[in-house]
This record gives sequence, structure tokens and C-alpha cells, in this order.
Amino acid sequence: MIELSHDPHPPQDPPPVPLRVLEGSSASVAAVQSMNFRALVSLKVRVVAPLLGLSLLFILCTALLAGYDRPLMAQKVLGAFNVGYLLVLLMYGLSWVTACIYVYAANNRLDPQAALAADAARWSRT
Amino acid sequence: MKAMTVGIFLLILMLTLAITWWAARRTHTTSEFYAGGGNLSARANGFALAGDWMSAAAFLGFSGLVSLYGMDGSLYAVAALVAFLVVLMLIAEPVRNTGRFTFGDVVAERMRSRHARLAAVIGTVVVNLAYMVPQMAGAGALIKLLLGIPYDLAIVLVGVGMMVYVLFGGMIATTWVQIVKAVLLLIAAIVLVLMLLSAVHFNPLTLFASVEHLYGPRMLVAGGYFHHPLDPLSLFLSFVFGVAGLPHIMTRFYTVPDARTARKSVLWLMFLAGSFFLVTTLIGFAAATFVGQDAIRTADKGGNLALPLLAQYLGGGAGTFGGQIFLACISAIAFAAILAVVAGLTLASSGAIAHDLYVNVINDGKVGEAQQVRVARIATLAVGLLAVLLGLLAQGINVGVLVILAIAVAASANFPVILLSIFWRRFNTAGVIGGMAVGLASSVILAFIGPAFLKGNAIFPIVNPTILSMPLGFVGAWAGTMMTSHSGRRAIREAHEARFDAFVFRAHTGLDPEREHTAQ
Repeated sequence: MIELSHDPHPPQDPPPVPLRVLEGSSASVAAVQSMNFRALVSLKVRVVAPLLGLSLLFILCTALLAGYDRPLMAQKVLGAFNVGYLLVLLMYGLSWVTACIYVYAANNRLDPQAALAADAARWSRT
Repeated sequence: MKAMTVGIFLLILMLTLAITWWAARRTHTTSEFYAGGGNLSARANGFALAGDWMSAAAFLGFSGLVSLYGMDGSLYAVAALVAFLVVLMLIAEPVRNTGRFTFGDVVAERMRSRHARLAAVIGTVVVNLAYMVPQMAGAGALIKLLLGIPYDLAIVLVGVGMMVYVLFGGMIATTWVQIVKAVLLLIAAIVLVLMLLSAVHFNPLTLFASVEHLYGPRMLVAGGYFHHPLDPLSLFLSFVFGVAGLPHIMTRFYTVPDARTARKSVLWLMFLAGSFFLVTTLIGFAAATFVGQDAIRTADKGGNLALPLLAQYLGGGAGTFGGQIFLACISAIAFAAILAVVAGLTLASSGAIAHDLYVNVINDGKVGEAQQVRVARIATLAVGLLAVLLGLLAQGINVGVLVILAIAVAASANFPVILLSIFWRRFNTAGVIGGMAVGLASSVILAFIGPAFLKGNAIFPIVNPTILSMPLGFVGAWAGTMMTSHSGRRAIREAHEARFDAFVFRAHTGLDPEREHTAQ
């Protein structure tokens, strides 16, 4: 097996890349450039980016508010229950809802698309 | 009381040993030792993951922090849940699709380099030991307090227990011990919450009001435990990105047959552990109300005995039969929690040493199956003995810094490496080494010059150093990659990029186009 990555001290005269690896590499390039795989990546970005991005934005903003705006967090909502605890409660709900949406989307949209990409890669070789 | 507690301890110990005996008869291959055969259901793996994540630190620590500091403890608990969003959406499936037994497998699969695998071994062992020592020290202190057994003997008992589980039962025993522990812990939490809610006529707002009345409105906002305004943000960064770099959590994704099951098991974990984390606020407030902060501090200044003391109170109070039964049960479950978590950490560490270091770095993968299992067991023994030794040395020192250190190293060294391995085409072995070295060094240095270790004399003002050390880890990974990405011959560079294509295809689909191709 040859070294395919860049070590900090690369060999001065690396061995030539065997034909077998080049054939495999071209299969990899073809696989990632296939329409099905590109559609899968695009779909993943469209599912994950908003879900994770918005969740993290909410979570990290709440953390910042907890540190920098304690008077706001101390505002009462219901009895002694305040804005800070409301946001904590929302974080639990948000995490569960976001996770369920992702798993639903992954099971019903991402997995079938991944299977199409894998099937296409297998089919292209035969 | 002690006889009853010892009896319940022994009952749980016998149950887990019976599981180990059953598992030992099914553990022969490396796949069975490291990954339990890789055929767990999503539900079983979800319970085991929840068992892994609901450690004694969570079980006792979160409720203790809430009882003494209010909102800061609640932030810790919710951070431990939201962390799994990153694991679910970015890490679980690629790790399952590209690795075999360890975090090092993923990095090595991407880089095809022994240096990269070695860097992953270092990241794994440092994180696991830093995580394990506080668990051991906590176990020693807890058992000493509850049973009167000397600290040293308690540490040895925990060490022997975890080594027996892992040596004989491997991942199968560790998994089922985790599942049993998770079920016991959740049952205990449900009973406690029902009892404490009945004490306040099923109106949880009463607890908020009583805490505010008894200890002032400061309990309901951050700032009791966290002093710097950036502390909550750094805490969330630590958890959100640190959990994704914890090797013993990644290892659990190899115990299921595919990425889809890995994903579903994270969802199970999020509901099981998340529900528990949610009620730690109620448990903590109930402990502060019914037991009182003075009594909690007297029992343990860190508040770790708030939950057992609340259980005793709800059972009827000190000296009553119900109170003793409740206290004994909770203590025994805490003991089981510690044993199960250290067993998981030991297994992940022995995997890094035996599978990554001995088999793949030293012997280039040319080791027979039986020899691999033998070496894994020797590594388990070595890791277990080291953990016992460090646990003995940790008596009396501030182990809190080690928990912070473990999660900070995971976020600053392991997470950048795993994330860039999966998503950055140009990332290379020098980047792995750079990210690991800078992330590790910066998190260790900042943790030890921070408030967790130096208290009022801290040079770095924030408890969790991740807010600075994680960006530094990414910079180290980027710098290492950029400094070497133009060296080497063009053919090597092209082969490296093609290797990334194969890796990324496999990460997203589970199919390796190169191996499928060459297998034809």
C-alpha cells in the first residue's frame, strides 16, 4: 500500500502510483461527480445547514445572553419562572424537534438518494 | 443502613458480573471485543449511549450544581443534550461508514498514514484518561462516604470491576452493563420526580418560587458558578463540539450494523438522556428546598450528594426504613453508573492502544485475529492499572479541572481533526498532527492556568478554555495542511485528492468505490 497523504517529511523519491490505485481513483472521481451523488450532497446541505445553523445560533445566543444580559434573563414569565428558564426549556424542545426532523428527512429523503448514488456507482462499473 | 447499602451494591455487582459471564461466551473475535459484533438495534444502542452519557458526573453532578447554583447547573445539563445535534447531523453517520473500531480508524482511512493514526491514538488516550480519573476519584469519594470503605480500597474495587467487565466481556458486556445502568437510573429518576412533584402538588413552579424565596433571585440567573460573562458560551462550545470528539462516544457507532441505525440510536439517546437532564433542574431545586444547601454542602462541598440526600428525604428522612432504602438504591445506581462509564472508557482506550498502535502503527495490520484479541486484553489490563494508579494519586486534588480538560481536548484537538477529515479535501497528515498538537497543548495549558485549577489567581479568566483552544486547534490543522500541501510530487497529490473522493463517497453512502472497483 502506498502513502496517499502528505506526511510532514514526504519521501524524496516516492514510488510511482500503481495502475490498480489509479483505476480505483478514477472510479472514485466518477462516483463523486455523478449526478446522483451531487444531488445527495446538495440535499444534505439543504437539510443540515438550516437545521443545525439555526439551532446553534439559538443555543449560542442564549449562552451569550446568560452571560451578558442577566436582567433580561431574570424577567419573570410565570411566577418565579423567568426568561432564562424559558429559553433553557426551549433548548430542550428545539433539540428534540430538530433531531426528529433530521432523522425523518434522513430516513425518507437522504437514505433513498444515498442508495441511488451507491447503486449508480456499482452499475457504472459493470 | 450500611448493610442494606452493601447488599444492594452486591446485587447490582452480581447482575453485572452475570452479564459479563454471558458476554464472555460470545466474545472471541476483534469485532466482538471492540464492537460487540456490530449488530445492536437502534434502541439497545441508544440505551447504551445514554448509559455512557449519564455518567456519575451527570447523575450526581448536574443536580448538585442546580441545588447550589441554580441556573448554572441547568445550563450544564441542557448543554449536555444540545451537544448531540452536531453528533447526529455531522459525525455519527460518516464515522460509522468510514471506521471499524476506533476514532483512529476514521483518520487513518482518510489519510492512509501511520503518523495520522498515531496522532489519533494520543488524542484518544489523553481524553479518555482525563475523563476516567475524575470518575475514579468520584467513585472513591462516594463509596468512602456511604460505606466507610477507605478511598484506596474503593478505587481498587472500581478498577477491578471495570477490568473484569472489559477483559472478559469486551464491548458486549460493556454495552449490556450500560443498558442495565441506564434503565435503573431512569427508573430511579422517574420515581424521584413523581415523589417530589407530589410533594409540591404537581406544580413545578412551586419549586422555582421556593428556591427564589429561600436563596434569592440570583439562583434563577447565571453567575453563581460562572463568574466570567463568556463562561456560559465557552461551556456550550465545549459540549457542542467536545462531545463530537469523545472517542468512547464514537466507538458506540460501530456496535450497530449501519449509519441509519447509528442515527436512530442518537435519537434514542437524546430522548432518554435529555429527559433525565431536564428533570435535574427539578431534582436540584427540590434538594435545595427540602434538604437545604447547608446540609448538601456539609455532606459534600461540591453538591454531589444532593440527589442521594433528596432520595433519603423523600423516602421518609434519615433513620427511617424508606429513607435508608432510597439512599441505598441511589448510591448503588451511582456506583453502577461509575463502573459502566469507566468500562466504556477503558474499552475505547484499549482499542486505541491495541488496534491502532500495536496492530496498525507498529505491525502494519499484520496481526492474527487471536493475537489481536490477546493484545486488546493486555492493553485493557494496562489501561485499567494506569487508571487505578491515577485515581489513587488524584485523592484530594481538584479533579474538576480534568473533566474540563477532557472535554476541552476533545473539542480542540479531536473535533477539528475529525471534522476536517470528513469535509476538507486538502486536509492532510501534517494537518492532523498540527491540529492535534496545537489543540492538545492549548487546551491543557489554558485549563491549568484557568480558574478551575488556579482559582482566584487564574491567568486565563474562563473556566472552559474551548472558546480559545478550539479555534487554535483549527488554526493548527489549517497551518499544518497549508505548509505541506504544495510539497510532494503531483501524482501523490492527485492520489491524495482521489482518496478524499473515495472517503467522502463512503462517508455519505457507506460504499467504498475504490475497494469495490479493485475487488472486481
